[in-house]
Amino acid sequence: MNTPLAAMTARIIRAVATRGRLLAMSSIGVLGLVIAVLIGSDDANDSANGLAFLEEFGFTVFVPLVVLVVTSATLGTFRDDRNLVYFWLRPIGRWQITCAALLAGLLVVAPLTLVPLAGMAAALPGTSVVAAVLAGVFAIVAYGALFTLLGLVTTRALAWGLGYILVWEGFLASLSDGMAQLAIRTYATTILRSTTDSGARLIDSVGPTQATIAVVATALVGFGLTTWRLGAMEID
Amino acid sequence: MSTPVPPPPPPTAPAVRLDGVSKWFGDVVAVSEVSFVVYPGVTALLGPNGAGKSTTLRMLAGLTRPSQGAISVLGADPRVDRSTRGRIGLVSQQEELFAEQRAIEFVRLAAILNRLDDPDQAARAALARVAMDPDDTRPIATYSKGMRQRVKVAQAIVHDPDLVLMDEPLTGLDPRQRLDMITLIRDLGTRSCVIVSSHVLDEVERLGSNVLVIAQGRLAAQGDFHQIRELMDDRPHRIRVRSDQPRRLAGALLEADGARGVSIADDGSVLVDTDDVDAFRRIVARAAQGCDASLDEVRPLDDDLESVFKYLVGR
Repeated sequence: MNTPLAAMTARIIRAVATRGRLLAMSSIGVLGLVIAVLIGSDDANDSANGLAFLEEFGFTVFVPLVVLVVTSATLGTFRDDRNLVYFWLRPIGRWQITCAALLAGLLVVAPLTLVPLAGMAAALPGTSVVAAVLAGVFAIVAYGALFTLLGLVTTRALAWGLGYILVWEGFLASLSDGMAQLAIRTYATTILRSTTDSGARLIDSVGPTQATIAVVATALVGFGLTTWRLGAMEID
Repeated sequence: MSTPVPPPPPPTAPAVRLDGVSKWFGDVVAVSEVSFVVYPGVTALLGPNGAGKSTTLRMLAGLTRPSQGAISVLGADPRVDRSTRGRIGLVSQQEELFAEQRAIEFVRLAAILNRLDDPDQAARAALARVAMDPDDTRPIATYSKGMRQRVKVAQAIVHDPDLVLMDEPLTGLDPRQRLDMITLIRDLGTRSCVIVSSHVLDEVERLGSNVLVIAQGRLAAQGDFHQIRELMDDRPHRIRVRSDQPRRLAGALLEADGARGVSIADDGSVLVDTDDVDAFRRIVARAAQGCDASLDEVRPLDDDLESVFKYLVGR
């Protein structure tokens, strides 16, 4: 814990992982699990129903919502509380602050999302636990980078993030393949589908390789912009 | 605790240099065309609330950019020079700390981020310097304002910075704690450059420091505290005198040559402008006696610090 990165990561985790936040986010995961078990126990449901639930609930609502709530607070909480200065005015690179925020966010979000996703995949017909977890990792990395930046640039990160999740990812991205290519959900579900029985792609032009590149690129852009913003912003 | 501290060594290179610095937020000008240099030792930034002191300190720490002009801190720009940030300690005015942490954790984090070899030992030493118990298990959230203030100072000095910026550090301290803090500030000033902002003249006097007077975003005066004090005392004063014979008393005062100007206010009181309040107090009694007028009230109208700053700005 005596390196700046480890110390900041621990500090951010402690600030972000509040009891209320953990309970609220866990309850959404439990709700998804219960529904998944109900779907799985009904013989009338086939693998298409299972995959649809995991995509529509797991990767369109559950994962982005949990990642938004947690990662937008990693730097946003400190900015709002006006104590970002205690990281900022130190002889460390801005990238280390970004790194600590992303790391802290991912460490909090991973158990909150991946465990329920694995449980849902196990309970649902036609879905793979490994694929669900892998797709979950893709999703939390990309959303995490995006929402960490959002939390730093605006005090209304939750409102903007919800708007993005529901309107863009949930609705507009489903209208055309072009728009879908600008949605993180597309890449997560591409990974998810790549290991299903049918292997059907969400979009023909996007396979696992393209999904991997897109997620890595999103993460890098989010990281870069957050670091730039930290250097350019005025600190209270 | 108030034993005299030897003066700092003669100035060498300035620790801080501001050249024509202005800062505005939209239409609001917070700091206007301010230029000064600060050498090692204690320097007080004196001015009323809203004068631009905090903005100036924030610019010195690199937290905000000047809208115009140039700032050099320890020979570099702290906003872009990483090593310079490691030579600055900031005691900000805001209350917010990592409230759920213990003081030792908070200060140790500062030590780690400043890359000290033994952060735990450094944190303990810094807390001890501000008379805080490093083994206190209570979270900072439970601390009084004075205790929080001292924890803020501890995190600012944990790495022995060359420049310590303190924004109203005596706020919230009881008299004993103030005395200790002033002693600490003077001690810090023997080894580094300490810039302390305050809106309380008496505090600045006790720091025994050089003074930069800032009012309405402008540098109003600069120099040794005693020079500034004389400047403040030598300004014209306005005094209101109430009497049952205001016109007769006004005439007597003019004849007695105790006033630069005399006028009768709408409420019937006599308004007197004078350069020497003490001399006037002696003259007014004799003048009233001489013209058989009562003296119901003799009250300076501009003895508050705000008026002093306004005068200095308008000079």
